[in-house]
Parts: sequence; structure tokens; C-alpha cells
Amino acid sequence: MNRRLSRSCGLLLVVFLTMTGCAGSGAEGSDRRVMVFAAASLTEVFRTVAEDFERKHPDTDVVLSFGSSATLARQLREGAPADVFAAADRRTVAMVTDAGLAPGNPPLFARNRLQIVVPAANPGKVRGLPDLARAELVVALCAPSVPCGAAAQKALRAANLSVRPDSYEKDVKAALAKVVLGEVDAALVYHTDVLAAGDKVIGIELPVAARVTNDYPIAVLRHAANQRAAEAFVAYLRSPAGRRTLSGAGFETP
Amino acid sequence: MTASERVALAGRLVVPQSARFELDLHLELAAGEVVALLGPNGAGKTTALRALAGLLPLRGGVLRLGGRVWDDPGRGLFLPPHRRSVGVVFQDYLLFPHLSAVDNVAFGLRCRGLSRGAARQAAYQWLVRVGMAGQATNRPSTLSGGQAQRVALARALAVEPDLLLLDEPLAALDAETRMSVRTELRHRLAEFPGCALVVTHDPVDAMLLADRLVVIERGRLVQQGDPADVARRPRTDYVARLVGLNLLRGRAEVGRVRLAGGQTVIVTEDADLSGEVLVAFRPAAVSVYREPPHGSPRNVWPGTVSSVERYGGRVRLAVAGPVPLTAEVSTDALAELRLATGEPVFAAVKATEIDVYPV
Amino acid sequence: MTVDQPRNGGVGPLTLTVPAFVGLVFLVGPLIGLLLRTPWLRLPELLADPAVADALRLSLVASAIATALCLLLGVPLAWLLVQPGLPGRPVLRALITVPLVMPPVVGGVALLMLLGRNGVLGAPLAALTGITIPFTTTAVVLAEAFVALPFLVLSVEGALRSADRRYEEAAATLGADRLTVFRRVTVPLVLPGIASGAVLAWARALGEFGATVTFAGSFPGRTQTMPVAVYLALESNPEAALALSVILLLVSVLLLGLLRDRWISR
Repeated sequence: MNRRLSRSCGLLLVVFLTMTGCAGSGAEGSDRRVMVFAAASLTEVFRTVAEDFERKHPDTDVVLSFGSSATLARQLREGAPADVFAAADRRTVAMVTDAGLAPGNPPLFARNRLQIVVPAANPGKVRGLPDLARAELVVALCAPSVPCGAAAQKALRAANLSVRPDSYEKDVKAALAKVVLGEVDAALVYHTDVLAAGDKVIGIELPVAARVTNDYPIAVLRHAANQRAAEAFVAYLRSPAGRRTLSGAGFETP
Repeated sequence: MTASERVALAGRLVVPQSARFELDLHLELAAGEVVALLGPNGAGKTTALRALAGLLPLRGGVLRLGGRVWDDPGRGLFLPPHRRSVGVVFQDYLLFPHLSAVDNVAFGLRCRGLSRGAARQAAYQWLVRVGMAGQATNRPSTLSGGQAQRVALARALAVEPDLLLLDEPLAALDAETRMSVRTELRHRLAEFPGCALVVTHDPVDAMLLADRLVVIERGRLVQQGDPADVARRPRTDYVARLVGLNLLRGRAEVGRVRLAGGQTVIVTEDADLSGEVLVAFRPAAVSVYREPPHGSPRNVWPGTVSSVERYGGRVRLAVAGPVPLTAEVSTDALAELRLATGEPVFAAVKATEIDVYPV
Repeated sequence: MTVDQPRNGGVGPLTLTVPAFVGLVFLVGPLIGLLLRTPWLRLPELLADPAVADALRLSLVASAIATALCLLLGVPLAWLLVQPGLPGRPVLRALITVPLVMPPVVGGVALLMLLGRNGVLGAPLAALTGITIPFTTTAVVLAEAFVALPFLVLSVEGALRSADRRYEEAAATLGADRLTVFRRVTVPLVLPGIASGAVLAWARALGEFGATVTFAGSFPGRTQTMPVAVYLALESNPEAALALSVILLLVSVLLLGLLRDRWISR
């Protein structure tokens, strides 16, 4: 009886240690690891930047986590262990700096502009922003609570258009996916997303009055396990090499 | 076509029974006839019943009712159970637990297209006939064994089947209920115009309910005939052990029964009966003497040996006389008493060996 | 440390009771956390928001229709699974179980591949009738039914297997053909099993997120169900998200409580 009980206790202990080990902010290997939370629209370009960075700093490992900026901000506020946060607008990064998790006024490293995206065959015969108001078209927008959605609302207001989309997607990649699959006739996404989807889609510029750009700030978090490596990553991003990669993907660099 | 030709059952049932043997049984029933199918466990009685109901297909042979073919594997013809004019009383009754008694009885009628109201009315009449009108709205779980049996019978009869099958209809009842239920069952079967087959292992049930016995062992017919004949001339050990009962009719009086011919049978006092009764005792309980025996109170009747049948180490004697009966003696006794056809004898049976049943 | 043996009526051996208790805390703890953090005083104001009413109504209606659809298709499917002599039964059962092990988003993508505008069936449907399914309430119902159906089928199949087939034989001898037997004998007898399967399916449908948001998208009043609303609200308005979560929790508990008593414990 005693032996069985101590064995069960031992098993529980092992499980506990393993779980805390996983949950821990990783005291081990922190020298060599940078955890980056990045907006969904940065998916392809950050992967390239990370590879280049790792080549230049072979002892550092960049771990990327993508999602809607709003989701990532929320996760950070709840204690997610990241070192760097690259958001798709100032509003979401403010959610993090206001909570004291990063110093205020984080620098901008990129700019993105909103564009209309349609499937390559353009089944809806979309030519410009006013077409999105056509009732018979299937249109997807990002949910207003995420940066891409807020930008879309701003653009529509500026153009004095009232668009009733068929779906408010939870992040820009979800909206883009629907276009790539041909399930929607048009969506409002970033210029970089249009480029990333290659020849499966066509991008259409917004009218000058309605052009909306998003500023992308990047912040090094105060509790970053590896401050030096995190700052090095941000520095690389803002270096000429980094800027070249960004503009190659369609971002404007300030 | 006469009524008997119209609903007579004729067939040869060939059905795999177990890994070792097959049921192969010729069976014929006339309309209005009640046949008891007897046999030891595993002999194939239930298999035969299921084949007749259509729950089991025949492997060979043929089954016809009236002119209609119910099962003919040779010609690829098979009538499923719901299209046969058959009524089955199952051993566990299988009353639908979610329906009341009257709805149970009405079930078959509704399947035949009657409206709910009409079916319920007809079903209610059947319940009256089996004495269950008061429990019409009860659920089966609230009924006693005897009550459930009556409802099950009503349910099977309500569809007015050409063939009625009963699988051990009294097996699930306690001794007391059995007697009354059996009597009623006898009446219902007597009134029933179609063919009826009762599967049972109980000799009293068989002798009481049936016009004819069919005994099977290991899937084959070993004996059939009128109950008295079978009892008198058992062809196998099993049959002998099973059906060798003497049954006599009479009127109950205090402590005794007066037979039709005027003779009295002294029975034990705890039989609290009146009116028409049946008296039963085993042949082995009959002692045969050359001279009237003295001693402990017993019934003694004179008679003449009318037949002697041997089987195994035992001998069955048929004794004719005011109280006709069958006695069983050893071959030694036969030799010692020099018993042979035509010899006068005295037959004695103790009161304790005699059972009395209401008719 | 000594180990207590239960003498006359102790709760049980520690190796069982301790993990059981931990499991209970694990399940109930988060719910208690939710209830403790809910802004109860703001609840009426948050509930008055038409978007909340929309999401709740949509969730209840869509999951109810999805459950009905599951019953309509799932009970006969379960019946098919128990028929003797069915060829390829193990394969059939494995296929039915697939939505259970598939990540819901993958289920949503699969539905798009079949019924989307360019889908295998969706494309001809749109060409012939002009009807498209994605981004409609129909799509919500279909996505929820897709993930909930296996629960119902497996539950009913289990009930059918343990039912006494002799009642069906009795019904057949009384003149009931197979459909009548099914309708009037089999189904009434396994009704508790069907009911509990329906409750499981309904609960699964109510909570579905991944397949719904992929196949039907998200639009208030039309396709934005409670789980989706909670997810989106979480970023911009956490208090509203909590309120929505608590409402969903209370509605679920209420309906589960009502159903269990009446139908399942017979």
C-alpha cells in the first residue's frame, strides 16, 4: 500500500515538474532565444527576416508567433512570455505600453497600405472601392476590433461608402484565405498580403481620398528574457538589410 | 375448400440446430387442432417454433399453410413473419414495455390498418375475454406473471391468426398461478379455430392442453399421437419419463374425488377443491398385486391387464377396468406375479402420490 | 504517513479519491473563476446590447436546428450501423467518427471544399440555382451539425445495441414491417439513449467555433454565434466577453438541467 502511494505521488510530481518546465519563461537557453509576437500581416516577411537574422547571429534562435495584433496584445497582457511585439497599428501596441509592459512611444519600422483584393479571375468584376457596396457581391472585411478592420472602416468612411460585408473575419489572413479560395469576390487587406498571395489574387488600389495606411510599431518588452538579443533583432529589422527585405515584401519603410 | 383444408399446416422443417445436428421434422396440423411439441432441452423445439413463425429461414423442406407457401428454400420463396398469419406467445411474453395492456393487444390490429380507436375497441374486447379488462390501461411492468400471460395471449389472438404458437406458455409462472392459467388456456385453445402448437417440457401441460403430442429428440421425431397412447406406449426412455401420467376426471368431495364411473379416489386433505377436477399420478406410483393388499390407506382398484410393453428394464402395463390406468413395474415383478394380458390384478396407489387439479 | 483503508463506509482509497477530487477542481475551477470575475452589476446594460441578443438568439436557433438535423440523419444512420450483415461496418464507423478527431477548423475547410462557391457540390449548385451556402445561417447550421452528428450517431448506436431485439421479433410476428417496427417499437425503447445523444449533440453544436467561423464567417445577427462573439469581444471589450460567456454558461446549464431530468432518467 505504501509503495503504491509513493509511486503515485512520484508520478504526480514528475507531471508537475514537466508542466512547470514547459510553462516557465525558460531560464535555460534564454541567451539564445528571442520570442517574437508579430501581426498576421507580417507572416511571410518576418520569416525571411528571422532567417537572415539567425544567419548573422548563429547562436540566436528566433521563435515567431503570428496572430491578429489585438489577440497578441491581449495574450501579452495576460502574461504571455514574449520578448518583442510587432503590431499592425498604434492602437494595439498602446494596449501593451499602457499596461506598462513596454516603454511608451515604440519606434515604427514599417508602413502598410490597405488594398482591395479579388480572386485572380475577378468573378465579381470589381474595379474600385464603390463596387464593394454592390449587394450581389460577396465581400469579407476584417472585424473592426483588429487593425486591418479598423483601417477598412476608416477607408470606407473617407470614401463615404456603406458596405455590408458577408463576414467580419478575425484576422487579415483569414480574410485573404477566403479570397484565395474563391469564396468571396473581394476583401480589404494589406498590400503586403496581396503580394504574398502571388498570382492567385489581384490587388486594386483604393481611391486617393480613401487611402489608409497602417503604421507598424515594434516594442521590446520590459520582461524580455533576453534584452540584448531582442534589441539586436529590432536593430536588424530597422537596418538597411532589414528595410530591403521589408520593402521587397511591399511594406513602406519610414 | 373446406375449413380444415384452408388452414391446415403442412411441412417439413429442416433447420440447422447446432454444430452437431439438424432439425428435420415433418409436421401437420389441422384447423382447430392443438399439438404439443415436446422434447428435452436442445432438441429443436424452439427452433421449430421460430421457423414456423418466420424468425428463422428453413434450410430445406417446405412450409405451407392452407394453400399458401410460407417457406420454400428450394424455390427461393420466403414469407417474412410480418406477412404470415401467425400469432406467437413468447416465453417471456415480450409485452412492449412502453405501451399499455390494451395498446399491446391493439398493436397487431393497428399494423393491419385499423385506426387507433377501432383497434383499441377490438383489443378491449379481447381483454374482456381473457379477464383482463380491469387492467387495460396498466403498463406491463405493473402486471403479475399470470396477468401478463393473459395479455400476451390476447395480443396473439387479436390478429385472428391461422397459426397460433405458444413457447412454454406457463413456464414463467409459479405453481399456484399455473393451475388457473392453464385451465383458462385450455378454454381459449379449445375455442381457437386455427392450428395451435404448444412448445412445452411439462407433461401435465401437454396432456391437458393438447389433442396430439409430437415428441422430438435431437432434431428428429421420436413419437407422436394422442396423449393417452403416447403415455401407454412410450417409445423412448425420455418419452416414458416424460409423459407416463395417469389422468382421470371426477368431482371433488371432502377428502376424495368421485370418478365418472362412480369409483372414489382418496386424496390428501390439503387439496381444497370443489367441482370438476382432474386426478393425476405416475405409473411408477401404481403397485400391482394379485390379491387385494392390506395395510396403509391407499386406493385399490380391481382390473385386468390389457397390454404389456417392455422398454429398457421396465414394463408398462395397461390395466382395464372401472379405473383404467397405466402401471409401471420391474421385469422381475412381472415374472414373479406372472403378469400377462388378460390376468386379473389389483392396482393400488397411495393418496400421497396423487395430485388433484381443477379442470 | 499511513494509508487509510476505508473501514465501514469510508469514501474510498486515496489513490482514487485524490485524483477524482483534483479532476473535479480542474473542471469546476475555471467556471468559478469566470463567475467570480463577471461584472454582475454591468450585466443588464451589457445584455441590452442588441448584438448580444442577436448572438444569443442565433446560437440557440442554429444549434436547435442543427440538433434536429442530427436527429433526422443520425438515428437512421445509427440504425444502419446495427443492421446484421452490413458490409464494411468498421470502415463506416471510422468515417463517422472522423469529425470527432478532426480539428474543427479543418472541418470548416472541408465543408468549404464541398459546399463553397467553388466547391465540388457548391459550384454546380450555384451555377444551377444561384444559391451559395457560405456566409449564411444555413452554413452555421451545417457546420454545427457536421461536428455534432458523430456524438449522436455513436450514442444512439450504443443504445440500439443494448436494446432487446426480441421485442422487434415480437412486433414482426404481429404484422409490423421493418419501418413500423423501427417507428413503433425500437425508437420508443431507445428513447432515453436518443435523448442523451441529442443533448450531447446540442451542447457540441452550441459551443462550436472553428468550423463555423471558417465555413460561415462571422456577421452579427446572421452568422456570429456566441462563441465567435466572445472571441471577437475579448480583444476590444473584455467585460462584454465575460458577460457573453456567463450568459452562454447559464443558458447551457439551464437547458441541460431541464432535459436530463425529464428524458434521461426514466
